[in-house]
Amino acid sequence: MPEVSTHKAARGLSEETVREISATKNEPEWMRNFRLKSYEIFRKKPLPSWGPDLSEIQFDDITYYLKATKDRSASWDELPSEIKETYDRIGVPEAEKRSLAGVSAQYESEVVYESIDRELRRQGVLFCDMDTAVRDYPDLVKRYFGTLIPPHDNTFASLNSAVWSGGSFVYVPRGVQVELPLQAYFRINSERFGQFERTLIIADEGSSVHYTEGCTAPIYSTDSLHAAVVEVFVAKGARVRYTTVQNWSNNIYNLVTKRARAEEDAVMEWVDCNIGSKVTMKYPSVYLTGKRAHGDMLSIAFAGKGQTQDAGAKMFHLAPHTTSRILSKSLSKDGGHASYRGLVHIGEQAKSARSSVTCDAMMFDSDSRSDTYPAIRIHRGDANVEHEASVEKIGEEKLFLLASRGLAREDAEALLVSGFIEPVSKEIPLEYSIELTRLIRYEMEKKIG
Amino acid sequence: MNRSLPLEFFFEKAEAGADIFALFLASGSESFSTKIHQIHRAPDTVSRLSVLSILGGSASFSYEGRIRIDKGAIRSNASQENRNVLLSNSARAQSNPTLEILEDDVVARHASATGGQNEEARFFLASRGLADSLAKRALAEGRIREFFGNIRSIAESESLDELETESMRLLETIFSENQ
Repeated sequence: MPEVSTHKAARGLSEETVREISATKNEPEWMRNFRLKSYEIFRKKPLPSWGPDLSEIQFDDITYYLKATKDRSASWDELPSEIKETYDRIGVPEAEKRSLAGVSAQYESEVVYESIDRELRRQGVLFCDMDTAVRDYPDLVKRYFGTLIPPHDNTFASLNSAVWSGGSFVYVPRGVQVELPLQAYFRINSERFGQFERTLIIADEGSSVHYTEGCTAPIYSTDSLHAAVVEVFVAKGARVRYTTVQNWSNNIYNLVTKRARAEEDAVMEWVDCNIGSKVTMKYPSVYLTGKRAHGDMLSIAFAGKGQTQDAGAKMFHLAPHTTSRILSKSLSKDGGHASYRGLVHIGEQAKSARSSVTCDAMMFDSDSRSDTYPAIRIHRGDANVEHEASVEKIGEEKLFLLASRGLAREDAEALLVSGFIEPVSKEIPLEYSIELTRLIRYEMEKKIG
Repeated sequence: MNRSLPLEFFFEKAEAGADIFALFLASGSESFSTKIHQIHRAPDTVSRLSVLSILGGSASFSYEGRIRIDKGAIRSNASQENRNVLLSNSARAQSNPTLEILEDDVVARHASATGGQNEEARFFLASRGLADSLAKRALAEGRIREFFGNIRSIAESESLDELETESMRLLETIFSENQ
């Protein structure tokens, strides 16, 4: 088996690179062919003609090989001081800091993982990294992989389809309720926070599962392009919640395609927090293909200095009595640019569909920018679709009220921001939300240079 | 038939303001689209847009709105409201209200609601003995009256009466076609 070393890796993408990735992973032929076909598609695809400026991405400069080790920064000293400071401010424990920085191997006891693993196996739940799933559960994977997001869907989906590595595979059998939220963090012996992760989640009839990924602590990566693909299948009567907290360092282009299909009586919930990265383009969507299916999206976006958060949601109503709800909260500060880009589509088969969208934006100064681009397409007369959006600055009157009660300005602002994002933040698991509150507070206190 | 009506409003001087109203009534296979832009370039400017469409038959309507508040246009207040009433199953509507805000000390909002009429209201009227078709008609007329009432609360004009009458006549067409 050829040894892969980041120093020896060729830069740039070629058919040979794609073949080598597949060979290194020892993949079956069908996956290798899938990658090669996707690469051909990627070569012909242009960059999107809308949205943030992506012209600075150097595709030829990217290292597409697998990393043999997880080290993203060779030593603790190399880590940008900004990141170390943030770890301190949000209270990341000492051992965890080094693990996040990629300096040392994971620190948790293996015993913890083994007991979780045992419990899942007892229920018949499959949870492993995507590479393993391709090898161990080929029939299951083949049935779903690339069917919701085919390689030709968009440029970054085709790139991911060619060079994907890592990501999670989850299969929940019929009627099984997985009580413990599954975290990407639990996957041992696989790359964490990979550059081109590919995740596939299948919830069989009547099952339920909550999957979480990401980290409030900033993740530093020297790779400047991250293009993940996530496909979620929610069968009849099943329920899936997918929570992401993204805080990539400010040099990263984070261009993600996430899509779910919800069948009859199914519920799909996206909870999405975008705090980091230089540019994020992410529009999780739900295809409501069965009667009475429901799609839900709760999102928070924070755009600070030099950041562009271009995020939103898409809901496709393709069956009768389907419903959807989108709640988006964004904050922009110090020249940050936050945009909501969304779509609600009511198809001809979607009798009596209902949808409601609320986008609220808060701006902290006049250097920042906030945009809202919702699209509403209705192809039936009995649909009920509501949308409202507002953009405001932090309320001076409210600040004055709090000041008159003795709160310092920073505390008052933090309180108002907390209240602003509360409808979304209360849905995030406790461990994340405590850090999230501290993180946002810290971001707000930062002064420009 | 396809009629487009692009309108741009530039607020260049401090304290300039406008209330903008647009009403579309369509039946048969009529198709309307409108683009209305509210561009704020000076402080303390105000704009309020209200777009109402009432669609029957297999008519379609597309609304594209843009509020842009440039840097420097502090304390501006802009809003867009789009309501599309669909009176038949083959009516179609598209609504794309957008906001581009580059100044923080402002208020900008938009709202869009599309659908058949309020079911509770129809039930209420049915409980008072109104046949559904009459109830729908009464509610649609109410929307039109409300629309013109809002205009009148800002400025009176003789032509308003004429326009309101004409609107009711167009509504009549929509309903007679639906029979």
